[in-house]
Amino acid sequence: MGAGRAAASLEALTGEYFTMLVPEVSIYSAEEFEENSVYGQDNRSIMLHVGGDLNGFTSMVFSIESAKRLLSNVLDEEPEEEDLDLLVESALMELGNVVVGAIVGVFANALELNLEFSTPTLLEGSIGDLVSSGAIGKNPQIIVAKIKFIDSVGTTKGYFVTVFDLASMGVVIPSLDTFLKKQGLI
Amino acid sequence: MSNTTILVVDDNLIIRKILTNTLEKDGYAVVAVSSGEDALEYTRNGTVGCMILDLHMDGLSGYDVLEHLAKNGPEIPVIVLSADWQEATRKRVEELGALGFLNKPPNKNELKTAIEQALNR
Repeated sequence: MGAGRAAASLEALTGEYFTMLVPEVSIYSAEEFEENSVYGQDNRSIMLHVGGDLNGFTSMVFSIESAKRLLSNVLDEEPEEEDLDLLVESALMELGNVVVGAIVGVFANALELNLEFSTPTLLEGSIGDLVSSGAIGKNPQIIVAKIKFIDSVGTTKGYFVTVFDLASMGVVIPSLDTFLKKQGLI
Repeated sequence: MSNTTILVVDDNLIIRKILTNTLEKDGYAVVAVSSGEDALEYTRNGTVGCMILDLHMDGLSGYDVLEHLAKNGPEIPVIVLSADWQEATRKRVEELGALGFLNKPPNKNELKTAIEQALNR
């Protein structure tokens, strides 16, 4: 849900064609998630806390190369060298913002949830570090939905990861049940 | 100062640059600020034909700015531009008096139509 809209938003910003793959959903402990997290030297992660009916955070792991492509797509002239880092950071934040807003917003609409987002921040360290830090509770069991997005030739361009505490599932499951019944799917 | 000045309020530098470049090419006078506080300060001293307002900002949020304008004026047509696709968000900003709601990234034609509607009120 919302992945198509997120892909269209990314395409509008970067001028690249994107496809979002079917989400992988898993339940991890913080330690297990550390081993499964996605991170790399050329990638940066943007994180937004999600509150309201659910408790957790969403993160988008994206390549610096794509952020630079966004810059060249939207700016009329080459940025000054001293402005480049700030502009890349702003581009990454906005990419995270539009993808998270589209995916989580459409999810919330379908399940009739009311969610609140923080402003996006660049994540220092890994997503696993954030989970371990107790940001969503001490020693949480967490549910992770990971969506990989690829370009037109199948190259992985980044990940969207959403992490909620298990208590949030007590809210999601009845809402999902209602949604599926309304759609005539169960 | 012309009353067709468009005040862009967004904490993200890229969005401010995109909107400023796009709107100036269309012949509008644009002032871009990075916070709700700066937006309200500008409305006290400058004439604004239309405001394009982000919602999720540190400090005064877009919601706070809308509430302030509704209570204290001045009366300015506001187009909210947000990455948040929730229907509840759209409904809330309409209740707070926003004239329009567009999702990021903005479609150029939709943005231009919304601005023309705002300026011609």
